[in-house]
Amino acid sequence: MRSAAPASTGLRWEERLESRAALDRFLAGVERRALRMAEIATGSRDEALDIVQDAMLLLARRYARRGEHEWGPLFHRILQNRIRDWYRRGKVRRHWLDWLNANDEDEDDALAGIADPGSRRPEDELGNTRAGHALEAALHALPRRQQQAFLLRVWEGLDVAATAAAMDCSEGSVKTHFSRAVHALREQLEDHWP
Amino acid sequence: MSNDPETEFLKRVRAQLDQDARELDELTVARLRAARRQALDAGPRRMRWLAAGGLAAATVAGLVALLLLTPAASPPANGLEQLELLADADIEVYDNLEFYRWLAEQRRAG
Repeated sequence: MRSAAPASTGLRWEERLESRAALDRFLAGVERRALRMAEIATGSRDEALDIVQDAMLLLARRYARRGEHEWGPLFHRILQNRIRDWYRRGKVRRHWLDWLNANDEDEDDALAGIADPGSRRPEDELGNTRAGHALEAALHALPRRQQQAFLLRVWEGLDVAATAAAMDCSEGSVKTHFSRAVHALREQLEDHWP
Repeated sequence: MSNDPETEFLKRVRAQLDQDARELDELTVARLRAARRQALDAGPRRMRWLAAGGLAAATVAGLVALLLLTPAASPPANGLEQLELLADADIEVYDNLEFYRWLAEQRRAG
């Protein structure tokens, strides 16, 4: 006859299930905004999905045992780092593409088939309202740090200190980036939202 | 609540962003769900790896202490050796020191 499992084992199992459910709720609550933030930054939904997937994986692997109140700032820190890495890789990629283009002018354009990360699918475009499209274009055109500060403060609702922690900069820098972003966006969107 | 133009503007921006996020297509939502499942299934790193990491860090710290405390027994490490020691450490920890300090402050405050 099989002996009953110790009570402590059952408790740990329940705790683990509850912890998994809590992390599931957190990620489900943040994933759409995270995707849109990454998409606005990269201009590509596929790249954004990869970035969000990486961020989720890293949070679950490294910080799942941290307190739930820490997940928000940690997740956004990871997400912003991943977006920064994407920009850095893009710089290297552009450098090589420029070099290849300069050296292969007479050959067939083998790179023509590579998707432009800045391009958008027509079906996505059709779904956007005019104001929504203008907003996305204006956000995409902002310098990266301004874009981050604006989205974290306005959309994610982080306070200045949490935004500074997520962006790895001072609170003063967050205020400056945010203020410049608001100014630029109001100027660009005044036809839609005076 | 303030009704100044900037507050109104920010409210409209937030509403538009919320709407865009709500209206994501089914395929994208499914891909997000799959990514979430994958992350949850991956779960936290096993403790044995943490223990092994801790042991390795303690060993390195012990060796460094030994080198520093016994200068006569061994020549001082030159710049290159020190660089190698640093390279073995988890650079990400150094990169995120400021963030960990902020988290600790939040925890104390909370």
